[in-house]
Amino acid sequence: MLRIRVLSSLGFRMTLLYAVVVGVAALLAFTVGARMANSQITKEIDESLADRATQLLALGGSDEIAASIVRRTSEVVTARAYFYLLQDADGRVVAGNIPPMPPHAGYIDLPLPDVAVLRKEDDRDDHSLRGLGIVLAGGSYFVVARDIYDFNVTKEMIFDTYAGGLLVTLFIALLGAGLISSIFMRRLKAIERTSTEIMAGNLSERIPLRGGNNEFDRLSAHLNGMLDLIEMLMSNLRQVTDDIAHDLRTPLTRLRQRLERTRLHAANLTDYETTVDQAIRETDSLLETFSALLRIAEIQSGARRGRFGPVDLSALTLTIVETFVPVAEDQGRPFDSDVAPGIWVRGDHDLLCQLLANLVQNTLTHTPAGSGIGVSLAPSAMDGEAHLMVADSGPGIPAAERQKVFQRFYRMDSSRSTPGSGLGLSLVAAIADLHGMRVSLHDNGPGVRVDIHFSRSSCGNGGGPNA
Amino acid sequence: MARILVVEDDVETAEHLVLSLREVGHSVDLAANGRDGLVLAGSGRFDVLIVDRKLPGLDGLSLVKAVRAAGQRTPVIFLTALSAIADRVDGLEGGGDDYLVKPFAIAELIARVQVLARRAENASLLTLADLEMDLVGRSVRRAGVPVNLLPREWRLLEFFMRNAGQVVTRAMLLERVWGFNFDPGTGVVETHVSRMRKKVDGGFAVELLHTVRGIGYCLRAPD
Repeated sequence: MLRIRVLSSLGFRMTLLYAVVVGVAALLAFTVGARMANSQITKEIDESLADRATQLLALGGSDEIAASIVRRTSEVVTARAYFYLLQDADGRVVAGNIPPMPPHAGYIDLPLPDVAVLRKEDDRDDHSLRGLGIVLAGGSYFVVARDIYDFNVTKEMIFDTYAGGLLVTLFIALLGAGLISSIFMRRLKAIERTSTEIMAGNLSERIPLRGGNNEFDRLSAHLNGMLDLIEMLMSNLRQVTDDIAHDLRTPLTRLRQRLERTRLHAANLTDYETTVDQAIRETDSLLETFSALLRIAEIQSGARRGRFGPVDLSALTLTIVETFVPVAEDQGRPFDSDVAPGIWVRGDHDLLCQLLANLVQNTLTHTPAGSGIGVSLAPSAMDGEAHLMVADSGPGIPAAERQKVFQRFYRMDSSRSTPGSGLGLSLVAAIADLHGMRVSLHDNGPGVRVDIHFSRSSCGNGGGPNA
Repeated sequence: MARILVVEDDVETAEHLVLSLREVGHSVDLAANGRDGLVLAGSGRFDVLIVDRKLPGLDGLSLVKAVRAAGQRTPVIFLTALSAIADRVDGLEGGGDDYLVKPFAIAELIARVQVLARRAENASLLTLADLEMDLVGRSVRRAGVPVNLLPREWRLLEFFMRNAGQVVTRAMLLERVWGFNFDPGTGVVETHVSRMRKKVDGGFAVELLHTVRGIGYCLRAPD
């Protein structure tokens, strides 16, 4: 079973493919090299044969050549020496130690003559002759030849070495393929195990990392990041469901009781009308809460990041200030604003508008008439950052409650009587989070200060998207 | 009044829309699915199309895209239960002129239909009774007396003037005058409108801007 899986693993196949490619390349290199060496050696042999033939021909006519051949072949002929043949026009041997043959002018390959004596360790098959045949005037034929044993043996040796090398290469490649595929499979197994665990419901399971920065660790880290997000979204979803169950049930129950009471006790049409009007108002407020919840969920899903663009936060802040100043004035509240120009961020214009409007509206709703409001937007001391602040001089929020106000439906006891769904600040937190902004609440002595820190968009620099 | 085509598959909603629109004097046709809707809308005899986003046969967005591709400029109001902000953008980019998320007050729909049915012309001088608004010269006069408006008040008045005689809702003002697709909370529209009203109507015997209780405002000439 395991063997089959190793063979079908991608790592194994890739390594094997690599080995085959290397083998073919080596074969090609060898073929070309051998051919070049072959032709070089052959050329040298042919030149030496030509030299020897020239020497003999320089002696004069066939008789002188014959005499010289007889002298040269009088001793015992050992392999690796020169061999000769002089035959007359009728093909009869005049002198020499090579059997007669049909005349052929030029280079010829011949078997080793039987008269040649071999060394004990030599193999007759490795011996062969390379000769140069010359047809003399009068039709006699003259051949000078050389045993090319050394050349043949070298060729054979090169071939053997190469074949052995190729075998070893393939063997190592096969081993490597097995090893690499088993490494691949071990890492993949870990991912498989984790996903099985997650499918079984254990959402907090993560793929183990080896601490290196290889492809597998990077992929695993990515997958883990995705799993973190999924887990976060799941827990969010659970949270929303719980919130809805807890906080929407109360007003619905109240609404139902009121309708029931009217059905039983209404004395006249006016009673009915009053109740219906009230019911419509309550339904509207329920629907509002509902859509606020959906909006928060949509923002938290991060899908809106796809629509991010450059936003002139300075202009946006000024719009909000301009919108709320008259409202504050009518309530007798001092409204201070200090907005630095040219601060741009990458984000969603509508959502950022809502974030700021919610914060300002929050101070208007939760502080008594007459308390002051301040909005400021300025570059931070830290490079590339900016700082948005909305403050009031109201009663403030106790330190223990400052984080809780960002939770869905959280309302401080002191604000139970004021209108609102308890979702305003969760929406603010969701929008800030979507934009990578850091929100914190501080004591403004007196009152509350909401600080939002974020990085400015590179398209800022006091200009605009085109600057 | 206006000829309106409602394309809506939910029977109860459709009936409610048709009856309410007929009650205020419009002539209304109904299509219960996207394909019928496209055939009817293609006839070009309507002043306003009210199209649900989710329809059997052919969805509302594709319907409107097809109508637009055929070169028709009939104003379209999308109705949807999809409250996601992205859907709103898709709807407006797909050729819708307005977008209402269900559930909505019927008065809100009626007000929007009126405004769309009578598209404001591109005049540079808007007049209503003794109120004059010069969009080029950037000046407003009531009975010949100059009225000084802040930029936001100017935009409010321009919107009212362009839709004179029509009921304009709070949500419409937030969308068109502020560009806000959310409710910034009570008081914002009221405060700005009341300041503008003080400058335009204050000290004059005849009021031009009227509050329509529970719905919004209406700028109209005295009878």
